[in-house]
Amino acid sequence: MSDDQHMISKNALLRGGLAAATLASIALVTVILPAEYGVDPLGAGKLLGLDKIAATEDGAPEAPALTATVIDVPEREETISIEIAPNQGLEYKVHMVPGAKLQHNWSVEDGELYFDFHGEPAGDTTGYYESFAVSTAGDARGLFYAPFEGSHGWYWKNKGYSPLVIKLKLKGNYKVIGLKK
Amino acid sequence: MIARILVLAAFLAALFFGAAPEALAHGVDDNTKQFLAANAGLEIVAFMYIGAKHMVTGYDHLLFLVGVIFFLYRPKDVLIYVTLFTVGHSLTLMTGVLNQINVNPYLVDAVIGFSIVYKGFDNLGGFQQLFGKRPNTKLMVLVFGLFHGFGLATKLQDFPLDEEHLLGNLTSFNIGVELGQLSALLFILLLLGYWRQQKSFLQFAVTTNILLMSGGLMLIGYQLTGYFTA
Repeated sequence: MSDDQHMISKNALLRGGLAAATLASIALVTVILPAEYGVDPLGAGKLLGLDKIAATEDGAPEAPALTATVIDVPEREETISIEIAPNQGLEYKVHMVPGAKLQHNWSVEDGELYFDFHGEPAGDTTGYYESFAVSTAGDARGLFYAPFEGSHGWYWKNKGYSPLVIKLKLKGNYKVIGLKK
Repeated sequence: MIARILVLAAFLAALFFGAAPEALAHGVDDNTKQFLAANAGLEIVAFMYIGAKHMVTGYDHLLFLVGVIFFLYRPKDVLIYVTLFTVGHSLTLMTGVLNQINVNPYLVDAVIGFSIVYKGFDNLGGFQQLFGKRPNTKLMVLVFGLFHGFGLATKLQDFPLDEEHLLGNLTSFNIGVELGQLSALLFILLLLGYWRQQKSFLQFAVTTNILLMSGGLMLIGYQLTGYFTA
């Protein structure tokens, strides 16, 4: 017998195994399953108020609606050149539905800038926006999935003293909104 | 002295990771989700952090580790077994993500739960007692390591990953996993080392391994229910 185990008798093993299984079953049926999935065969989850956890998770506005809408928007791609005068800021936006995909890649030859990649929910009038990336880098690329319906895109500010040109490449399921001051 | 500093460091790390409420939910929390979904480019440190955090807050991996080193008294043995576990999970994490091997997360996590039950049972000499023969412990750690790696892979595969920097980000995630494992391991070893000097160790060793088995069974039930209902 090796020393890296602690052998116990068959009887103790049986009792231990039974205890482990009993404890696991009780925890699963009364707490874990009701809270995680709303599976509540004994009603214990309801009694403890745990069923609410599963209910809120299910209620989150997610998957089912979005797959249907994404297909409606055909994939497209384009390359855009955007010139920004010194000390000026510009926005380029596209409209996307939740879950829609956008492959993006932009770069600037040289110059100093600040950018904010963000989205504004459709129908919102409060001016709320959500930033996905903020930086002073001279290029950025990535694969973006819209978390909500609205206009998504970039704000660039030319912080230098000479005009700069941004080359933006897009590919995905979106509709162009275009440049905004 | 060094031991004390290590305890303190490990304790602070645990506090740091554990303080976040989302740590309770194993998987990837909302902030991380957003980062991964909007992620652009090579993000070495960010992916290392996500990997480390996943490991430190991932109780399934930790329970298995506790089981594996529970009766390993020699540092050399700890090193051998942890290395085998690391080789196993790194292999499937890397190949799984790179080759886009899609395994069902519920089933993988159920097997991970089973690995904990196995280790608790094995620690109590269950195989020897009931079957007269014990599966090769080193081989089993390697094999279950492979499943733990698939589990890690599914966590990353939930997200659209930037293909161009996939290898770099994935390697960073893997390194983060190992760093997280190392810090968790230090913490576990220190606690175990202290506990082994107490009379209560052997007394509660049996109970602890039964609890390990129970925890593993809970994970199996939890994941299989998810598989059949979701």
